[in-house]
Amino acid sequence: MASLPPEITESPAKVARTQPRLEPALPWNVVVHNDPVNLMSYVTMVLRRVFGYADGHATRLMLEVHRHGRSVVWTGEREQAELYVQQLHAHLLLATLERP
Amino acid sequence: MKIRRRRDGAVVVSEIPQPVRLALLRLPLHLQISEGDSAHARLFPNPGGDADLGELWAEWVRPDLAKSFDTAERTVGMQLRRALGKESAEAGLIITPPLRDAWMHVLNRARLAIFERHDFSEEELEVKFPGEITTERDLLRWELAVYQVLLEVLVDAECEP
Repeated sequence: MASLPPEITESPAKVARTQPRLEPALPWNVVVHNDPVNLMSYVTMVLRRVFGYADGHATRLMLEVHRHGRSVVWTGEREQAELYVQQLHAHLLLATLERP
Repeated sequence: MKIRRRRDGAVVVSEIPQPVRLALLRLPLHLQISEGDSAHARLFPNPGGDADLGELWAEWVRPDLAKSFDTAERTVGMQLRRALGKESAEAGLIITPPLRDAWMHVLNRARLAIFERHDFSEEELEVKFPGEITTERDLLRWELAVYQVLLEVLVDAECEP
Protein backbone atom coordinates (compact mmCIF):
# COMPACT_ATOMS: atom_id res chain seq x y z
CA MET A 1 0.00 0.00 0.00
CA ALA A 2 1.30 3.40 -0.88
CA SER A 3 2.26 5.48 2.12
CA LEU A 4 -0.02 8.35 3.06
CA PRO A 5 1.10 11.91 2.44
CA PRO A 6 3.12 13.21 5.37
CA GLU A 7 0.50 15.65 6.60
CA ILE A 8 -1.98 12.82 7.11
CA THR A 9 0.47 10.54 8.92
CA GLU A 10 1.31 13.26 11.44
CA SER A 11 -0.55 13.25 14.71
CA PRO A 12 -3.09 16.06 15.24
CA ALA A 13 -1.01 17.37 18.11
CA LYS A 14 2.05 17.78 15.88
CA VAL A 15 0.03 19.47 13.13
CA ALA A 16 -1.32 21.91 15.67
CA ARG A 17 2.20 22.78 16.82
CA THR A 18 3.40 23.57 13.30
CA GLN A 19 0.56 25.92 12.45
CA PRO A 20 1.20 29.63 12.94
CA ARG A 21 0.05 30.92 16.29
CA LEU A 22 -2.82 33.31 16.04
CA GLU A 23 -2.37 36.20 18.43
CA PRO A 24 -5.22 38.50 19.33
CA ALA A 25 -4.91 41.81 17.47
CA LEU A 26 -3.65 44.13 20.19
CA PRO A 27 -4.29 47.82 19.72
CA TRP A 28 -1.51 50.23 18.83
CA ASN A 29 -1.08 53.79 20.00
CA VAL A 30 -0.35 56.73 17.74
CA VAL A 31 1.86 59.08 19.76
CA VAL A 32 2.62 62.70 18.89
CA HIS A 33 5.84 64.07 20.40
CA ASN A 34 6.60 67.65 21.29
CA ASP A 35 8.92 69.71 19.17
CA PRO A 36 9.80 73.34 19.72
CA VAL A 37 9.18 74.52 16.18
CA ASN A 38 5.68 73.43 15.23
CA LEU A 39 3.18 76.09 16.21
CA MET A 40 0.47 75.13 18.71
CA SER A 41 -2.26 76.32 16.34
CA TYR A 42 -0.71 74.26 13.53
CA VAL A 43 -0.58 71.07 15.63
CA THR A 44 -4.24 71.54 16.61
CA MET A 45 -5.18 72.07 12.97
CA VAL A 46 -3.37 68.87 11.93
CA LEU A 47 -5.07 66.80 14.67
CA ARG A 48 -8.45 68.11 13.55
CA ARG A 49 -7.69 67.41 9.95
CA VAL A 50 -6.12 63.94 10.25
CA PHE A 51 -8.41 62.46 12.92
CA GLY A 52 -11.51 64.59 12.40
CA TYR A 53 -11.44 65.67 16.06
CA ALA A 54 -13.50 68.57 17.34
CA ASP A 55 -11.52 71.72 18.09
CA GLY A 56 -11.75 71.28 21.88
CA HIS A 57 -10.46 67.70 21.82
CA ALA A 58 -7.67 68.52 19.37
CA THR A 59 -6.64 71.47 21.55
CA ARG A 60 -6.55 69.28 24.68
CA LEU A 61 -4.32 66.76 22.93
CA MET A 62 -2.05 69.50 21.62
CA LEU A 63 -1.69 70.94 25.12
CA GLU A 64 -0.84 67.50 26.46
CA VAL A 65 1.92 67.24 23.85
CA HIS A 66 3.12 70.71 24.77
CA ARG A 67 3.10 70.17 28.55
CA HIS A 68 4.07 66.53 28.85
CA GLY A 69 6.20 66.07 25.76
CA ARG A 70 3.89 63.52 24.18
CA SER A 71 0.29 62.45 23.84
CA VAL A 72 -1.46 59.29 22.71
CA VAL A 73 -3.72 60.77 20.09
CA TRP A 74 -5.35 57.60 18.80
CA THR A 75 -5.49 53.88 19.64
CA GLY A 76 -6.62 51.06 17.39
CA GLU A 77 -5.68 48.60 14.68
CA ARG A 78 -2.14 48.62 13.46
CA GLU A 79 -2.86 49.24 9.79
CA GLN A 80 -4.95 52.32 10.52
CA ALA A 81 -2.38 53.51 13.05
CA GLU A 82 0.37 53.26 10.39
CA LEU A 83 -1.74 55.34 8.03
CA TYR A 84 -2.23 58.00 10.69
CA VAL A 85 1.49 58.14 11.48
CA GLN A 86 2.20 58.56 7.77
CA GLN A 87 -0.30 61.43 7.56
CA LEU A 88 1.22 63.08 10.63
CA HIS A 89 4.70 62.79 9.10
CA ALA A 90 3.34 64.34 5.91
CA HIS A 91 2.36 67.32 8.06
CA LEU A 92 5.86 67.33 9.60
CA LEU A 93 4.73 66.31 13.07
CA LEU A 94 6.89 63.96 15.13
CA ALA A 95 4.75 60.85 15.51
CA THR A 96 5.35 57.21 16.30
CA LEU A 97 3.50 53.95 16.61
CA GLU A 98 3.72 52.24 20.00
CA ARG A 99 2.30 49.25 21.81
CA PRO A 100 0.19 50.38 24.79
CA MET B 1 2.98 95.30 4.59
CA LYS B 2 -0.71 94.47 4.58
CA ILE B 3 -2.21 91.02 5.11
CA ARG B 4 -5.91 90.47 4.55
CA ARG B 5 -8.24 87.61 3.87
CA ARG B 6 -10.57 87.73 0.89
CA ARG B 7 -14.12 86.37 0.93
CA ASP B 8 -13.03 83.38 -1.15
CA GLY B 9 -10.53 82.45 1.59
CA ALA B 10 -7.45 83.70 -0.24
CA VAL B 11 -4.77 85.37 1.86
CA VAL B 12 -3.52 88.52 0.20
CA VAL B 13 -0.15 89.91 1.22
CA SER B 14 0.52 93.30 -0.30
CA GLU B 15 3.03 96.13 -0.07
CA ILE B 16 5.68 93.63 0.92
CA PRO B 17 8.78 95.44 2.15
CA GLN B 18 12.12 94.49 0.68
CA PRO B 19 13.47 92.55 3.72
CA VAL B 20 10.32 90.38 3.83
CA ARG B 21 10.46 89.88 0.07
CA LEU B 22 14.05 88.70 0.37
CA ALA B 23 13.18 86.40 3.28
CA LEU B 24 10.42 84.81 1.20
CA LEU B 25 12.70 84.48 -1.81
CA ARG B 26 15.19 82.62 0.39
CA LEU B 27 12.58 79.97 1.24
CA PRO B 28 13.78 77.51 -1.46
CA LEU B 29 17.30 77.76 -0.07
CA HIS B 30 16.14 76.35 3.26
CA LEU B 31 14.28 73.52 1.57
CA GLN B 32 17.32 71.95 -0.05
CA ILE B 33 17.91 69.04 2.28
CA SER B 34 20.18 66.15 1.39
CA GLU B 35 20.38 62.81 3.22
CA GLY B 36 23.45 63.81 5.21
CA ASP B 37 21.84 67.04 6.38
CA SER B 38 21.01 67.28 10.09
CA ALA B 39 17.47 68.37 9.15
CA HIS B 40 16.88 65.20 7.14
CA ALA B 41 16.19 62.99 10.15
CA ARG B 42 13.71 65.54 11.49
CA LEU B 43 11.78 65.71 8.23
CA PHE B 44 11.73 61.95 7.82
CA PRO B 45 11.43 60.67 11.39
CA ASN B 46 11.42 57.07 12.54
CA PRO B 47 7.88 55.66 12.75
CA GLY B 48 8.54 53.57 15.87
CA GLY B 49 6.78 50.22 15.95
CA ASP B 50 9.07 47.35 15.00
CA ALA B 51 11.84 46.56 12.52
CA ASP B 52 9.30 45.58 9.83
CA LEU B 53 7.70 48.99 10.02
CA GLY B 54 11.10 50.68 9.74
CA GLU B 55 11.77 48.77 6.53
CA LEU B 56 8.32 49.52 5.16
CA TRP B 57 8.88 53.20 5.91
CA ALA B 58 12.26 53.29 4.21
CA GLU B 59 11.04 51.48 1.12
CA TRP B 60 7.59 52.97 0.56
CA VAL B 61 6.57 55.78 2.86
CA ARG B 62 9.64 58.03 2.80
CA PRO B 63 9.86 58.13 -1.01
CA ASP B 64 6.14 58.98 -1.10
CA LEU B 65 6.60 61.74 1.46
CA ALA B 66 9.60 63.08 -0.45
CA LYS B 67 7.49 63.28 -3.61
CA SER B 68 4.70 65.20 -1.91
CA PHE B 69 7.26 67.54 -0.30
CA ASP B 70 8.78 68.21 -3.73
CA THR B 71 5.38 69.00 -5.21
CA ALA B 72 4.68 71.58 -2.50
CA GLU B 73 8.14 73.07 -2.98
CA ARG B 74 7.70 73.41 -6.75
CA THR B 75 4.24 74.96 -6.35
CA VAL B 76 5.47 77.61 -3.94
CA GLY B 77 8.74 78.16 -5.81
CA MET B 78 6.87 78.93 -9.01
CA GLN B 79 4.57 81.41 -7.30
CA LEU B 80 7.47 83.07 -5.51
CA ARG B 81 9.38 83.59 -8.75
CA ARG B 82 6.33 84.98 -10.53
CA ALA B 83 5.15 87.24 -7.72
CA LEU B 84 8.37 88.39 -6.10
CA GLY B 85 11.12 87.56 -8.55
CA LYS B 86 11.26 91.09 -9.89
CA GLU B 87 11.91 93.94 -7.55
CA SER B 88 8.80 96.05 -7.50
CA ALA B 89 7.03 98.45 -5.19
CA GLU B 90 3.84 96.52 -5.87
CA ALA B 91 5.23 93.21 -4.67
CA GLY B 92 2.39 91.05 -3.44
CA LEU B 93 1.23 87.49 -2.98
CA ILE B 94 -2.18 85.90 -3.28
CA ILE B 95 -2.38 82.53 -1.57
CA THR B 96 -5.64 80.93 -2.65
CA PRO B 97 -7.19 78.01 -0.69
CA PRO B 98 -5.89 75.36 -3.15
CA LEU B 99 -2.34 76.70 -2.62
CA ARG B 100 -2.64 76.97 1.15
CA ASP B 101 -1.42 73.47 1.99
CA ALA B 102 1.69 73.85 -0.14
CA TRP B 103 2.49 77.15 1.54
CA MET B 104 1.92 75.86 5.05
CA HIS B 105 4.14 72.88 4.30
CA VAL B 106 6.95 74.96 2.84
CA LEU B 107 6.92 77.58 5.61
CA ASN B 108 6.85 74.90 8.30
CA ARG B 109 9.55 72.84 6.64
CA ALA B 110 11.82 75.86 6.24
CA ARG B 111 11.41 76.66 9.94
CA LEU B 112 12.19 73.08 10.95
CA ALA B 113 15.21 72.96 8.66
CA ILE B 114 16.64 76.25 9.96
CA PHE B 115 16.11 75.17 13.56
CA GLU B 116 17.77 71.78 13.10
CA ARG B 117 20.54 72.88 10.79
CA HIS B 118 21.67 75.86 12.85
CA ASP B 119 21.10 74.33 16.27
CA PHE B 120 18.71 76.98 17.56
CA SER B 121 17.49 76.84 21.13
CA GLU B 122 13.87 77.17 22.21
CA GLU B 123 14.73 80.46 23.93
CA GLU B 124 16.01 81.89 20.66
CA LEU B 125 12.70 81.05 19.03
CA GLU B 126 10.82 83.00 21.67
CA VAL B 127 12.55 86.27 20.85
CA LYS B 128 10.67 86.92 17.67
CA PHE B 129 12.10 89.71 15.57
CA PRO B 130 15.73 90.52 16.36
CA GLY B 131 16.13 94.26 16.79
CA GLU B 132 19.15 94.50 14.57
CA ILE B 133 20.45 92.11 11.96
CA THR B 134 24.21 91.99 12.18
CA THR B 135 24.97 88.29 11.86
CA GLU B 136 23.74 85.40 9.76
CA ARG B 137 22.08 84.02 12.87
CA ASP B 138 20.08 87.25 13.28
CA LEU B 139 19.03 86.95 9.66
CA LEU B 140 17.88 83.37 10.22
CA ARG B 141 15.93 84.41 13.32
CA TRP B 142 14.32 87.16 11.29
CA GLU B 143 13.37 84.60 8.65
CA LEU B 144 11.99 82.20 11.27
CA ALA B 145 9.79 85.04 12.52
CA VAL B 146 8.62 86.08 9.04
CA TYR B 147 7.72 82.51 8.16
CA GLN B 148 5.93 82.09 11.48
CA VAL B 149 3.74 85.15 10.95
CA LEU B 150 2.66 83.99 7.50
CA LEU B 151 2.12 80.43 8.73
CA GLU B 152 -0.09 81.68 11.58
CA VAL B 153 -2.21 83.67 9.12
CA LEU B 154 -2.64 80.61 6.89
CA VAL B 155 -3.54 78.33 9.82
CA ASP B 156 -6.13 80.88 10.94
CA ALA B 157 -7.56 80.99 7.43
CA GLU B 158 -7.76 77.20 7.42
CA CYS B 159 -9.40 76.93 10.85
CA GLU B 160 -11.76 79.88 10.66
CA PRO B 161 -13.07 80.02 7.13
